Amino acid sequence: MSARYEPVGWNTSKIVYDVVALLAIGLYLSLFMWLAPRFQHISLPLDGFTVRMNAFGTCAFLLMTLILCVGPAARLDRRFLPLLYNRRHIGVMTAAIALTHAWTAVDWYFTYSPNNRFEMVLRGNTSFSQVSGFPFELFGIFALFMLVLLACTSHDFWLKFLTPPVWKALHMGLYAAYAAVVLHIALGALQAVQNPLLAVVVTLCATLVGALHVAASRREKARDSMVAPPYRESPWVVAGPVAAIAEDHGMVVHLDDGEPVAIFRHQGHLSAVTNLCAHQNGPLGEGRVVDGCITCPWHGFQYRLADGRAPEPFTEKLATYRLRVEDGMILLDPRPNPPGTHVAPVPVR
Amino acid sequence: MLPRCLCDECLCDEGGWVECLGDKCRCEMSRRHFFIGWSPASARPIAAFLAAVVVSGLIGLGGLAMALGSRVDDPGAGDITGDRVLTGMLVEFPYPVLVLDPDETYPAGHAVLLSGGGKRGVQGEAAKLAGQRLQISGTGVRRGSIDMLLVGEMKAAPASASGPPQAPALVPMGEWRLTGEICDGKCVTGVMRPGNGLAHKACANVCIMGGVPPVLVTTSKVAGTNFLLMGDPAGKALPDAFRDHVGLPRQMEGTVERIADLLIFRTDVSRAVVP
Repeated sequence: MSARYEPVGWNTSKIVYDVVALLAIGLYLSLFMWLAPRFQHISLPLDGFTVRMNAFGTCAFLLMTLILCVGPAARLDRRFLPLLYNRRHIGVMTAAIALTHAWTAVDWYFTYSPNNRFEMVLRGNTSFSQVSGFPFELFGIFALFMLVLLACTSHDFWLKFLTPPVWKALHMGLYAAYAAVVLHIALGALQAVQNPLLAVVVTLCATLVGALHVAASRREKARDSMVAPPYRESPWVVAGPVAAIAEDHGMVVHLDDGEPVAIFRHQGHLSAVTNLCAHQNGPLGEGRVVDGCITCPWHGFQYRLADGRAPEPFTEKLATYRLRVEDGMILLDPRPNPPGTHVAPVPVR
Repeated sequence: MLPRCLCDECLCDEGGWVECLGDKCRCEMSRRHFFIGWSPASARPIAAFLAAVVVSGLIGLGGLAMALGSRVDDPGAGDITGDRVLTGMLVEFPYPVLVLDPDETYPAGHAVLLSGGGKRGVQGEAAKLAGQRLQISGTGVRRGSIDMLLVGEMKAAPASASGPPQAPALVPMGEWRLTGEICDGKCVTGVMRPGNGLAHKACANVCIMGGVPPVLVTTSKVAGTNFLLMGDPAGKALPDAFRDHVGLPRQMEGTVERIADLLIFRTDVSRAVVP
């Protein structure tokens, strides 16, 4: 959390995260470009530009795969949450690596001609009417555009400026970029090589991304299908038994309009807020109460239980809900209060 | 002792239970295990797990780098051969070719494809000098039987002791149906490795559009070579239709001619088909 905008709000976790990420990227590129060629069994070595293109291109693809896998993996096993924490930095690194791949391709394949190199990227291959030979470069251009756009708008300034729903929708564009990269490889490099290894790696990566998302989606669908039933007094609904919420933990209930609400138990009292974090719409109900504040599991944003406001000097606010407890059951008024509205926590007994 | 909770909220294998609620549980472990980014201490309970993930990831990435970086297709043995000064007769079909004087190595003469620096041909310069005996300096590139000179300077050659230059003979070799890949003669000869294949298609198109001679790399040898200079049936450069066929396996019909040791394949490239 940060009360003002800084290029990066560094902390120990972010530094460790970035060091590990850079180490992994450096290891991959070093091995690919300098050690692996010593084990090639070919007449003469590939030219340096092609090796660099292959190294940076595959590295960008693997990083995109990692970025897309971290989300559902963290939903399936909370121990992966630390990988989610600074994922945006990997995204920025991925954009830089993809740019290097693209620049190398342009510099090697499209420069030194009588015409402008960027013009030739578009004019070099115009076989739009055929699958084999289709200008796969266009998929790469689209993916690169998306990666750079997402990297440029990854800062919290843009998150606040665009609002979390718009920002989130924009950054879902990574899925389109990933699909474009798979097509870029499938219609390009995979058509050009005889060795099946790249095809196997790409297929496994794409399958892993799809399988993790399906698994996480099925689990969440099972949870989301449990809509809080109406109580005999309108508009109250039955959220569940008090005993279902452990101390300093949360419970998510879904209203009949699909809105998720998080109910927390702290020091013998219950409080309810929207389940969507004001930062990136993270699932607050999967968080904890830490230092008396609801703490988002994604990036640690915090909110007070009674009014859904972030502690000063922070300014984020959540919609709050009214609660009652009767016969050990939690009753919830499904009408949200304006964000930041004070609602006194309800005693469990 | 409470039974083991089967919900996924808890990471305990056994013990430490505070309360088990069927689909939720409370235990010391689950209470402690909650990572907060700005609190590094919160990662301690899962430090071993994270270390295992990082180490596994590094090993996996390293293995992939070695596998993907070492298992590559052979790009062929084409390579740059260094600075050369060649003397011979300049001819155009319509791409410029320098036919060297016969010597011990090439008793029937040797034909060298000519190209410019970058993705450019030398048709403009060659058109003024066609039919003349020239001395051309430049950088040589060779792959198997195909030879190319990246032209630096062209000038009139000293008079030959054998008298005035004579146009090299063009020998017809009949009608052929050939299967192979259309490449640009510069990259495939060895300026790039690999300089062929679909990933290189756009580059080959740009080269040929710039005037670099197109070459058909055949799947089977024709009169001892896999490399044939291409032209259209009327003796002109390939029409724009070639672009859709470059970098892909294609079968074409046409006539083959030989000048010195170079084969020339004249074909209507728009009729190329997938073999």
